[in-house]
Amino acid sequence: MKTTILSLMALATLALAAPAVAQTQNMTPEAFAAARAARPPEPLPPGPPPNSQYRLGPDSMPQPGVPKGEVRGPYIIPSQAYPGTQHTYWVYVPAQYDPSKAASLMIFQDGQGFLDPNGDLRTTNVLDNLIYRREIPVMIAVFINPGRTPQQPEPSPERGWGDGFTNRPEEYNSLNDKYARVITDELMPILYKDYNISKDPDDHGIGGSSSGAIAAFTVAWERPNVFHKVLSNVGSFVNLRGGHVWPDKVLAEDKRPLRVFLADGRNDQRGMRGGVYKQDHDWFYQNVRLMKALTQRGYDVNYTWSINLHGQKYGGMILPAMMRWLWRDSPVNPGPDDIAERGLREPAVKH
Amino acid sequence: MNKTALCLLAFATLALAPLQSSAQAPAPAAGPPPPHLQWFVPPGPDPDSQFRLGPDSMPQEGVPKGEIRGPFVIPSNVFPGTQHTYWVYVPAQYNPSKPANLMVFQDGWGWKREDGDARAQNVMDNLIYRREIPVMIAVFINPGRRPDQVEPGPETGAGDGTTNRVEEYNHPDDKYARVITEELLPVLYKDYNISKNPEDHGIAGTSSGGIAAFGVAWERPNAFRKVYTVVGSFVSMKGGYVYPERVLASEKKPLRVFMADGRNDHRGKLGDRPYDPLLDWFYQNVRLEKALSQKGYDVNYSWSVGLHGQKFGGMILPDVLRWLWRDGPVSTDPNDMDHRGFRQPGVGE
Repeated sequence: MKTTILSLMALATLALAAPAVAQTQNMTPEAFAAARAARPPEPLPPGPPPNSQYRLGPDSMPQPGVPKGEVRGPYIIPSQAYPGTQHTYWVYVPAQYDPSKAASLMIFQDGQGFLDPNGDLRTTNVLDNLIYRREIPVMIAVFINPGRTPQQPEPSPERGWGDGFTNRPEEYNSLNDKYARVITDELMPILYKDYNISKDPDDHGIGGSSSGAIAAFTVAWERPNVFHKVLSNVGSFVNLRGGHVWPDKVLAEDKRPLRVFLADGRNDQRGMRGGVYKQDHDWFYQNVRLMKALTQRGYDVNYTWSINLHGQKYGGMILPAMMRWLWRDSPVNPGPDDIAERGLREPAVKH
Repeated sequence: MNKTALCLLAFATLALAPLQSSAQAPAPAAGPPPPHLQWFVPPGPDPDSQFRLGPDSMPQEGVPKGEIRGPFVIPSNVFPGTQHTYWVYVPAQYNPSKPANLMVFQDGWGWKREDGDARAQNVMDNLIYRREIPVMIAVFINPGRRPDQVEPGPETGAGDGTTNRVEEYNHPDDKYARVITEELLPVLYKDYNISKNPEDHGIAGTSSGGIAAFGVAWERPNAFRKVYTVVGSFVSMKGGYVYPERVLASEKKPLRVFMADGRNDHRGKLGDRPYDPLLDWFYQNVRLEKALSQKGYDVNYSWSVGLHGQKFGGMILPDVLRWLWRDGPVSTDPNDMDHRGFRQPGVGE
């Protein structure tokens, strides 16, 4: 009991900065949620709740007449990069997928959250609507959860994202290429076997929220010949495991051919828990700093800062806009006689 | 009927019709045009059938509403004998002691129409409140007309054939830029505290209003640096297809440009006439985007499947304004609680 309380208190004071202590990854989801809730609150501005004005729009909802893609899975693959763990993923196959034509690919970390049909993102609806109207290309989407041992619970909308009870913090927040290896060496070969996916890195995007966003950025950074498009929402470019150095790395290292969208809010976690300001734990400060570094180096960067809290209320609302921007230069046929190319994109004929 | 008359009639009846609500026929023409004046559209569901305005285009509870003042009328020296009608959107957060940004919408009536396809004032109310765009004055200006000509509007049409619209909006020259910078801006500067920095000025338009907006920024990059064109008429109405070549041949200007268009915009196939690439809106929009991209402009674009009109461009207006104004001033001081809260009426910045 005493140990548990101590452990909870440690979590409360250290917040997310806790080092990779084994027991922090072997809590129950309930105990971890309780520890999170027990942290001293961050100061917030007076007035209405900052998240009170975000509403999902029609492109995030199922629409009559729009062909629905299919979500396949869950599938599980064992990990060599993190021995003893495994990754669960789902595959979205759009109605327009034609195995004879190479599809684009987008991989979402914390797949369960991006897939949640009642969640803040509802990615599959966005993909259905935008693919149908030709605003983004035909793409396979993968929703992959963080790694866990077979004994650890699967992250889910009910249980949480996995910090405290899976390998999530280690995989997502570390500045090395180990998680990139999970994606490129363990996941993609299977995808290539099962689907006709383009080999062109311009046709590959990767995205995430919070720790999943820094994970996405790190994968693209470490594998710029595999991924050229990055979607980051409330990205944890902070000192959970050294991620606050990204802006400096961007300035110091060779420019990568990356296109990056950063969404964040002025009431993201601001490093002010417990009355001491820690700038390397100020999500918003670090996101702005990363944007400036990317801009200074001439990256193809887009960003938007609202006033949202940590979470996906804002990033989910603008997911259609982020996807349009990331995928804006998919091929168009500007000739007038390609009647098929001018119509709404209808389902592929089944072979 | 000679070719010019046919072409003009086509524009009067069709090119502008999408600015109307589908429920309301434009005044100058009743009923659908004869087949030889119809633009070709592919079979299948209506290409515009899947565009819906989102919550940021609607009034929202708790969000302070700006005020629309006007109409005001200013006489034109650039186009003698004509005058321009405009309205001014003043956001609730405007404070006369602090310079505001400025956005000017051509065909003003269509952008501010409460039941229209863009509803720009709602978008600005919502985005200014959440600090996604800076505090901005917006002007909705109609095309010029003689006092005896009818004002464009939901019931009267966009003004082609009934006002000076085509003459003003479609010529790739600086005459309309003079209307905006020499006739409109001085009046605005007198009435409001507006920033003098061209980075703080945007200009937008649909169809002929789109090429007009681009033309103003092109001719006056020291007055306007942000442009939004929807189904821009960079076509052979008055020689507007020349911009891609001009962009490539000229020194790069400090402009940020968002272009929205659809694959079923007017495509240069009118009735049984042969295909004319100079009347292919989509082809010319893609061509201009490529020229701007090639020259390294800060350009963004989105091609959907829509028809000529504002259904798509209006739907994505919140995204476009966020992108155009993304680099508004931001405080990263975590103790700046004013800046972290919703932007309250009268705060000014």
